[in-house]
Amino acid sequence: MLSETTYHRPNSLDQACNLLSENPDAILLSGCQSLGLLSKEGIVSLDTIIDLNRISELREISYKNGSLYIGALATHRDIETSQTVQTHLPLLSTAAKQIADVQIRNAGTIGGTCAYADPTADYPPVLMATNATVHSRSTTESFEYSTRDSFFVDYYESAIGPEEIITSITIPVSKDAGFGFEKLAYRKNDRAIVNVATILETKKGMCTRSDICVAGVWDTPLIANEAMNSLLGTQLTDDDLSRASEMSQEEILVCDDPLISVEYRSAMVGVLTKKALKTARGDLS
Amino acid sequence: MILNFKVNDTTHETNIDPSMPLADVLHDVLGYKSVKQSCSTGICGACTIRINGEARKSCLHMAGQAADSNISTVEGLSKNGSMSPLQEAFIDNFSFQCGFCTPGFLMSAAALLDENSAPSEEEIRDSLHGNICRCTGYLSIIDGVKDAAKRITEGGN
Repeated sequence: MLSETTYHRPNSLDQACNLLSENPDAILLSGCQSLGLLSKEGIVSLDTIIDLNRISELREISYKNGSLYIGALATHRDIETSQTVQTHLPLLSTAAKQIADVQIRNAGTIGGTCAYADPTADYPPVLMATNATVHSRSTTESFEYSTRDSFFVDYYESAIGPEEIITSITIPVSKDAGFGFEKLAYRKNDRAIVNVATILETKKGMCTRSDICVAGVWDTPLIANEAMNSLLGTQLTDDDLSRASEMSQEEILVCDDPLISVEYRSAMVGVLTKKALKTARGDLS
Repeated sequence: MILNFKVNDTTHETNIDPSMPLADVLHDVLGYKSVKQSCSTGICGACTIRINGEARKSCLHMAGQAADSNISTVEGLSKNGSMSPLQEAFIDNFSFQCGFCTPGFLMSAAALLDENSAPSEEEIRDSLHGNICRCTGYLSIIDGVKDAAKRITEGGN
């Protein structure tokens, strides 16, 4: 028989950081919705677990000085139903609502999703489009990672170091922005075949901000830089959006998938980019 | 590790591996036989229970994670030997055939109705999205939940 797991239930972030420092191979547990699968498949070994769920300070959701603060232990359901998120960044609550099902949304957390860096997850394109920052801590240091530049490193790999615990995500919010989110999956709320987050802003009818992030198709979410730049200074006509969508389809790298051809996925990048841009344009007040 | 599980208002103290799936703890160790496992990977929802009122998939929770929380299963739905309006509505609307998935559907529906006693069909479908039934075709289940909502509202409990 395998030996029993050593299970720690710290009540504070300091305690958790100390435990992780003393047990560098320990597994951090938050919602367990992905970790549960990995342990059943034998991909992770559960010799030592640090269960973060009693650290209530990590579940806060608040809005301060133009920035949305989401504690790492906020569940998908918290984010979906939070009045604060719905008011300041409906793009994030829209993405949360499209994760799996109610039971899983009641348990899974945004911090866990970030650490896991599943390329088909629904938050990453939103976090990259909004230029969110992931904050983490070790016993002695605090760290910040730009989701746009450095956080999502590779296939299921984030930049978080072995002695760090994700504490929160902060997201700059603009009240003048319009948002779009589109997802294609085999079945409603399944893992994304393609998902796209878009943000647009205008001044006097001219586009002053455009952000497009596409996920589900490559090892990490990808920013459609050329498509974004093509929209700046335009009046966001149908033609402008069509051209940007074609550029997005052109520049976004697409992996092969055993069930779906590269051509189809790539075409869907264009289609979903266009739909998400139209939604964002319609959302501009 | 000694862990306490509070299930349907009864506290059980048990010495188990804290990484054991909660579904196994409830069914095999504590004897709550309504907690079914089919896929064991968080897809089918047969193992749905409630933790502090929320519908959760017990196959994707570790024992340690759920210890000391308020857990509820189908065994706790009936009161003083009488079935809950939700269970009666499931019987009257033929909301099950083989019955294997039914405990999970009941717990998802109970969590919905406690939060929202007059759910729309869309809200019912959303709350049952994480439960799979291979017999009924779902429509009779949705009818059962609608009927239960009506019974609860009219019955005043």
